[in-house]
Amino acid sequence: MDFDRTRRATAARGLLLGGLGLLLGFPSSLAAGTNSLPEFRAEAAREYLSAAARQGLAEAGTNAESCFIQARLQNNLGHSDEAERFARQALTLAPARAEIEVFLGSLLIHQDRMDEAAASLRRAVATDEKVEGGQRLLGMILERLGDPKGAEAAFTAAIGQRPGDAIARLFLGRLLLDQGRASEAVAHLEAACRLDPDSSNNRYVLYQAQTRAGDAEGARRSLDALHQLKTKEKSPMEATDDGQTDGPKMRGYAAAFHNDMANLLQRQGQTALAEAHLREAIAVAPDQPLARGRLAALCTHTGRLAEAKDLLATLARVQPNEPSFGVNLATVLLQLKDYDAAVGELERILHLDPNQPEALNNLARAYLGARRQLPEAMVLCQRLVAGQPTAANFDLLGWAFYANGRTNEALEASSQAVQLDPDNPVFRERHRRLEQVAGTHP
Amino acid sequence: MPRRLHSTALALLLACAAAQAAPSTPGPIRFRDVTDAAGIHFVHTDGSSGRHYFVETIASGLGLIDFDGDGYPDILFLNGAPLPGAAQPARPTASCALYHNNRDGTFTDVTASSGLGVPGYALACVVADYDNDGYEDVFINYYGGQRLFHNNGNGTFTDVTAKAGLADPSLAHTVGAGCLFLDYDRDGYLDLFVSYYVEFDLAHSKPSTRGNVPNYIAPGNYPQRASRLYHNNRDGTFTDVSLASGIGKPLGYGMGVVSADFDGDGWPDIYVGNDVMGNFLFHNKKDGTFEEIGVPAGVAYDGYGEPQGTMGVNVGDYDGDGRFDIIVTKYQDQVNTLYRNLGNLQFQDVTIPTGAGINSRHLVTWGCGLVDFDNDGVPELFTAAGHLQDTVEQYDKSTTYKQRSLLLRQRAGRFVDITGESGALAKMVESSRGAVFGDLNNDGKIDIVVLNARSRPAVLINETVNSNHWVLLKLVGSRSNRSAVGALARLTAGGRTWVDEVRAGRGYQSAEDLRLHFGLGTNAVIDRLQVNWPSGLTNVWTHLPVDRVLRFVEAP
Repeated sequence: MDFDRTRRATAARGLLLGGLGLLLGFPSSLAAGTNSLPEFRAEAAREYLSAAARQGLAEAGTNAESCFIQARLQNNLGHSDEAERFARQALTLAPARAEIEVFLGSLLIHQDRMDEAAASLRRAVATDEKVEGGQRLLGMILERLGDPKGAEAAFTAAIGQRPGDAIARLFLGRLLLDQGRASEAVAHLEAACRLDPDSSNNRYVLYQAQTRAGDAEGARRSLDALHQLKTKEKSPMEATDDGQTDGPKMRGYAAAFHNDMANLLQRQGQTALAEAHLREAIAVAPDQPLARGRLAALCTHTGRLAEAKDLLATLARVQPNEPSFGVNLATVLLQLKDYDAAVGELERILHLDPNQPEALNNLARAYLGARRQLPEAMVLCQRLVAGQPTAANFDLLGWAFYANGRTNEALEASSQAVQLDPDNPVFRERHRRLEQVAGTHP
Repeated sequence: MPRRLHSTALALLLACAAAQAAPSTPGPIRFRDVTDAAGIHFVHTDGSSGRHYFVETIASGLGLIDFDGDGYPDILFLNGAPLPGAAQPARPTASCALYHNNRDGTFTDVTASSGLGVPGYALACVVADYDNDGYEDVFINYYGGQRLFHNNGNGTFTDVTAKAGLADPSLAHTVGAGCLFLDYDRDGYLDLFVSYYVEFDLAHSKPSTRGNVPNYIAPGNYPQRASRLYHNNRDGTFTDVSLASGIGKPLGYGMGVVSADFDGDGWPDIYVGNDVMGNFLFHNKKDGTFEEIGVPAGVAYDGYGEPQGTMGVNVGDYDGDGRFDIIVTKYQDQVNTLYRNLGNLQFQDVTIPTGAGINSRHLVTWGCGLVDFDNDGVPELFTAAGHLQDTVEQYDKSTTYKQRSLLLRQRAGRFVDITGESGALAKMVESSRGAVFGDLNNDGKIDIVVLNARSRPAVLINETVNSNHWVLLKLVGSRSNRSAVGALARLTAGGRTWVDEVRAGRGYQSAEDLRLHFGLGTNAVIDRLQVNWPSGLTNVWTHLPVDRVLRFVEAP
């Protein structure tokens, strides 16, 4: 276990998604794109990606972001020297991009260039002490370089910035255990287990810490849990090591590249090219939702609601348990005035998860907007507020009460919204009007 | 009850080598490659034809064997064999090669006359005197079977596999792995432990590619197999006790194996390195059975609970606390892992605080050892390196097929990489596999022999210059097994105590010098030597000389 944890997990997910795509039988054709890339074929994936890289640079020009995208792609292709060259070029163009320093540090670690990696990560956290993964990675390197105090400080900083960082807690726990501070380690490792209960790594180290802290009963429980987790999971190496083909992995890399390029080109105002990359990403890896979702958003913004609907409908069908696709689909359906279909989609999501907040919110708004099923809208809003007592949700609840003729309760909910967000002019205005209706305001 | 005997040193020792003149200034650890000069012309083949048969990746280990009992280790190189599609050799060649140590820095190829040159795809070996006749025998684990060779005492060996009850047609498609001789029931006869890697049928070889680059597939694509334990019936035959002993229960991807008394109870335990899954620690329950305790002991996974692509395993006492620690080699993007023995069958992964994994991330590592190369009393860490994917450079520029092995030295409690200062070792860039350690010329400095896949081996003579003292112990069992496997030596000099144990089979599927070596630093006298024999007897000697080979026979 160490630096490869995230990479392996991502690769494993990529393989799973790859399998899903094959089942779905999505077409993989360049016809959807506008560029001159050859059709993606697993057996020629490297040639495809090399061509895509060249084309990407030509389209976006040489800037920090395009170099960073190239660096990530070259790293995925195993071209560590090229990846480093692009990362350094990106840093030359944008020295304040701390996440590029983190990437470079990670790259250097894999080449056993620990001192250089440490220097890169020190620069990263000096530039932006909260850069994602920076403190954690720095801690891991400092520990390996024989600086446990520095490592502890970095891990502690990482946890301070992101208390939900289970990996940082695992590493800090492990470090403390190495120093004979088993009881302190247990606290962090228990937290790591709570944050990521399916991680056998967390459970394994907790078991060791409990054993050394003299907590025999806790250790026994952890060992039982560990055995269960290990029985369920397949070895990451078995899942991601050299398989019969690395096509699914390459598809994932290609899709990620096109998504990155689309993001950059969209920010550059090259919307048509951005769209072409999104379409290419979909063609290469039709099972991966990111490009389809972003293309749907792009279509929505450009008024192509029918296409957006089709894209989102596909996503909702492929991943029915992912609520955001259904919610977005319902939103588009409402814009298309297809009230019944939108409501049906939102009800489907709430059938899966009765307290899914976006679905509760959107369905309530749909009912209220159409002035239908108003009592149901009120109940939905009450569930929403119970789960997420935010100002916006109280404001919506006020609307629902008002629509059902329960003015006093509406006024009370509206008052909560204003109390929670007193500077929001919309909430204040709505509250003022309700007061007028209720006769409590002149 | 063990009997504690005191004997005068001179009555029992045989000084086999005189101290050499010791220079006064300690220097770096340096090796010289004498392969050519020594007359060793062996060339390893993995039988490859470009078809990327899975078995090619793991060949082979090697062994040191004093087959003629002259006190100088001879070398047994294991070899693959042509696989379908491979070019046939111009002349029929023996699979393995046995080189006799001429005691003058040269070796003679005696394969043809030895009887060890039988065809086969040899992967692992172990050396010890299983029948207590005074001559070291050889067990070889192949792809497709296993063979026991009895040493006839006249420079020849006889294949006694069938006679010994070790022939097994069910191994026809089994990839053999590490093996051990150990006296698990302490009855005075060496038993045999054998691990296996996978079930692999050439006719059903699975292809693998990276992009359009062909490569070797991962082991998880082939079925696992359980290890075996054969009990020595004391009549030249063995009985398979795998299931009754508990050894045969867990399935694994066995690779390197090693035996040691990890909990100091006098009974040998067994550590099995598994590829891509947790390693096994079989704890000897003293009643003929073993319990697999790798996970609770903390040696199944690395310190973060991750399984490793374990290749080789070895033991040593890196911190001088008298307990046997474990070193594990691994696949790329992992690091060599050092487990500190905390006692009570608890281990701690100390790779990070000790720096034992330094500079190993981009390597694939195999043979390994904690060996005191400079006789300062503190072991160094050697790992042989070489990728198993011969096309790796086409899809991963961060590593190479041929790699430089690693030599680490302890400095202020941490390991530092000294490979670049180590002479010939720094120049050896190969795809290495097995590595064995032993004193080939009896000069007190431990040498290294490395088997390099698809290439010539490297015989690396230790030419470290310093004035440190040393001793080599040749232990001979009488009530215990003759090779004294499992005998524990506790040596005290200058207020310091060292421990080691005679082991047959270790590292990456290899067999090392059965003699025990101790670097003594500036201590010119051994104050006390205690040997706990597997029989339960204990012998103690005092005031022993240094800088020589001392031979001790178990005294009743």
